[in-house]
Amino acid sequence: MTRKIRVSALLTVCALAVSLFSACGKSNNDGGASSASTSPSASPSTSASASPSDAPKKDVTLQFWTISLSPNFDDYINGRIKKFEEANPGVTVKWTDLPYDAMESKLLASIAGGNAPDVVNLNTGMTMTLAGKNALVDMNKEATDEQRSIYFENLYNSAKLGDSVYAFPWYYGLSAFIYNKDLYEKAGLDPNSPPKTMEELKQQAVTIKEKTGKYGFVPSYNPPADLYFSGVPMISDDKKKMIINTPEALEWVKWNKALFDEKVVPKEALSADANYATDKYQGGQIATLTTGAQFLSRVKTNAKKVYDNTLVAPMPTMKSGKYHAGLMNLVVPTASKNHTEAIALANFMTNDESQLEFCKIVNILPSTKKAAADPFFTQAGDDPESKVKVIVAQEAAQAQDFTLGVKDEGKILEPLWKNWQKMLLGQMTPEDYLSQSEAQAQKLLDEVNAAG
Amino acid sequence: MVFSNKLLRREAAFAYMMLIPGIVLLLVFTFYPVIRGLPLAFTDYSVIDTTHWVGWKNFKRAFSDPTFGLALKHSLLYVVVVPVLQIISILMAILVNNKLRFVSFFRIAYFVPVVTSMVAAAIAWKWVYEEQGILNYFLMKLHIISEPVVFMVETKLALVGVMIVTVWKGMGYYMMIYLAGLQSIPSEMQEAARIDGANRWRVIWHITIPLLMPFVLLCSLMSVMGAIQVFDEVFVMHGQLGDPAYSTITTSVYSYKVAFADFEFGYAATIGLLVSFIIMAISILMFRYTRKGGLTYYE
Repeated sequence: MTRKIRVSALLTVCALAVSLFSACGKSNNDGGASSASTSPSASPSTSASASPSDAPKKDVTLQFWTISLSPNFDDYINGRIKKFEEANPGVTVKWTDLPYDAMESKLLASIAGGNAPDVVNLNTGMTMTLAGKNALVDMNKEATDEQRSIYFENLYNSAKLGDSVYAFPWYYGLSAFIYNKDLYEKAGLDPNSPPKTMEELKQQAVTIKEKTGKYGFVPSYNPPADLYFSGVPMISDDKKKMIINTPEALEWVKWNKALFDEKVVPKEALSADANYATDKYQGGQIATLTTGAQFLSRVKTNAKKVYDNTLVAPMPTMKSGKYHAGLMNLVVPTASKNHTEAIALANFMTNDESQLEFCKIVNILPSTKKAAADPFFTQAGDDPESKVKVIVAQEAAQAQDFTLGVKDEGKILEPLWKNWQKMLLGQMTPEDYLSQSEAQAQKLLDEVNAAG
Repeated sequence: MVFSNKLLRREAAFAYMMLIPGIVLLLVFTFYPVIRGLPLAFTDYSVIDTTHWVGWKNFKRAFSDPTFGLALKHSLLYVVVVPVLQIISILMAILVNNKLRFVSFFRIAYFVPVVTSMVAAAIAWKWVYEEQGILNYFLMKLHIISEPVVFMVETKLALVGVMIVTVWKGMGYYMMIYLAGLQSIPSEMQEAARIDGANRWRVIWHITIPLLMPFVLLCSLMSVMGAIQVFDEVFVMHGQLGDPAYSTITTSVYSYKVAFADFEFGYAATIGLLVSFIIMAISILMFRYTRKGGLTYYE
C-alpha cells in the first residue's frame, strides 16, 4: 500500500469514526421554546365550555399520541375519538400509538422538526422534564375552570411547577398484594392473613424462603418515591433545600439493605422491571406479586393454574399511609398549532365518561372525582381481578404521585438511584447513601435554581 | 491517471459511475451530519429550548465529569474483547477452511449469531445469566460454583458478561472475513513449507498468519472501533445508567443518556467528539505498528 493510499484510508476511517459519534440536528432552534403566554393561541378561554365548538376553526387536524394502548384498546380509543369528532365538527383526530421507550425521543424529534403533536400521553416524570424545558402548555393559564375542576386536586397537582400545571391527569394504577395460596400453605402460613405492614411482609418472606426455597416477593425499587412515601420530606416548601437524610429515611434504607443482605429478596431485583416479577410469579417461582393490579390479567392469560390459585389483598402500607400512583397524563405541547382544540381533546379523553368507560375494560383507576365515585368500583365478583378492582379503588383515597415540583427533577434525583445500587451492593453504607445522595442532589438543585 | 487503452478507460468510468450512489449516501448521511454536528459540541442545544453558544464549557465539564471518566474507562477496557475476538475468529476460520464433512453447516452455524438481532441476542443472554439461568445450572452441575452467581448484578462480572455477548455475536462475522483471506492465500506457499518439513502449527504461525495480516489489521481496526462504541448490548442488558451502579456504562450509552434522558444534546455531541479523537488516535497507532504482513511483504 502506498503512502498516499494509506493516508486516504486513514482519513476515511477517521471521518467515519467522527460521524458515528456526532449528533445530528439543528444547531439552533427556538421552535417550541416560546412560552405559553406568548403563543398566538395562548389566551385563556373565557368560556366555561369544555368544547372548542364555541370558536370553531375549520378543518383542524389534531395529532394525538398515546403510549402502548394499541392494539389492545383500539376500539375504545377509536370510539372516543369518533365521539369527540361528532361533537366538534371540523376537527379531525389522528391517533398514533408509540412504545413507552420511543415516546420521549419521537416527541423531541417531532418538535424539533416543527411538526409537534397536539395531545400527548406522558407519565409524570416525562411531563415534568418537558415542562422544565418550556415545551408544554400551562393548563392553569390556558384551560378553563370547568376543564380543570373535574380532577382530584392532588392528582392534578402532580404536574405542578411553581404556579403552573402542565397536564391533565389521566389514568393510574395502584399496587395490590397478590399472592399464591399454595405457596403460603406450603410455607405453613395462613393464606387468610396477608401482611398488613412492610415488617409483616418481610417476616412472611423469610418464612417462605426457609420453608419452600422460593422468594417471598420481588421489591420494585423507586428510591425517591419510596423514601417520600416512608415519610421523608425530600424537599423544602420553598424548593431550595433537599431533605433526604432523616431518621425515617435511614430506617427505610436499612430495612431494604437487610432484605438484600439476608437474601430474602432476589439479587436480580436490583435491576428488575415489572415484567421480571410477573414472569417469576406466573412461573410459581415467587410467592407474591406486589406490583400493579393490571399485571393480573397477564397471569390469567399465561398461567391459568397460578391465577386460579391466586388471592388478593390490600398492599401493606408504608409509613406515610399513602400509596404511590404511577400516573399517566395528557399534555399539550406549546409547539401545537391548535391549543384550544388540543386542550378540549385532552379534557374529553380524561373526562368522567371517557375514564369510566376505560376503567371498565382494564384494571386502572380514574383521576376524575365523578368517575371514581361510580358504583362500578365498589362491586366485586369472586375472581381475583374483580376483587383487586375494589381493593385498589379503596386505596385510591390515599393515592398520590411523587414529584419534587422543580425543573430537571430526573437529574436532581439521579444520585438517589445511582447510589442505591452501590449501597445495596455494599459499596457504601446506608448512612453514606443518605448523606452523599442528599449532598449531590442539593448541588444539582442549586445549579438548577441558579440557572432559573 | 493513465490508462493504456480505451477499454480500460471505459471500465474505469463505469466503476466510478457505480460508486456515485454510495458516495452520495456517504455525503448525505455521514459527512453532512459530521459538519452539522461538530458545532453542537459548543452549544447547549436541547432540541426544544433556545440554543446558546457556550464555547469550551462542555469540554471543561467532560474533563471534570466522573461519570464520563468511568464510561471512558469502561469503553477503553472493552477493547480487551478485540484480541479474544480476533483469535477465536482466526481459529474458527482455519477450522472451517479445511475439507471437513459438514463444513458448510459449521460455517452457517457460526454465522447465525451475526444475523441475529442484537436486541434479541442480548435478551436471550440475560436469561442465560439469570440466577436460575442455564449458565448457573451448568456451573453448579460441574461443581465449579456451589451457589448461583447473579452475573447481571455483580459489579465485577456485569461488564465481562456483556463482553462475552459481543464476542459471541461478532466471531462469525470476522470468521467469514478471515475465511475469505485464507482462501486468497496461494496454497503453493503452505505446500512448500510442508515439503520443507514444517508441521501444521509452524505453517499456520509462519505462513498463514503473516499472510493474513492485512485482514487482521482490517478486522482489528473495525473491532476496536466497535468495542469503543459498544452500545446495543449494554443498553439492552443494563439500561441507560449501566446497571449495576454504573459498572457497565460506556461512552455511547452515557452520551445517549445525556442526550435523550437529560436533553443535553450539546454535551452529548462533546462526548462524541472526544471519543472520536480517541478512536482516531488508536487507529493511527494501529496503522503505524501493524502494517507489516500480507503477500507484498514477501515479494
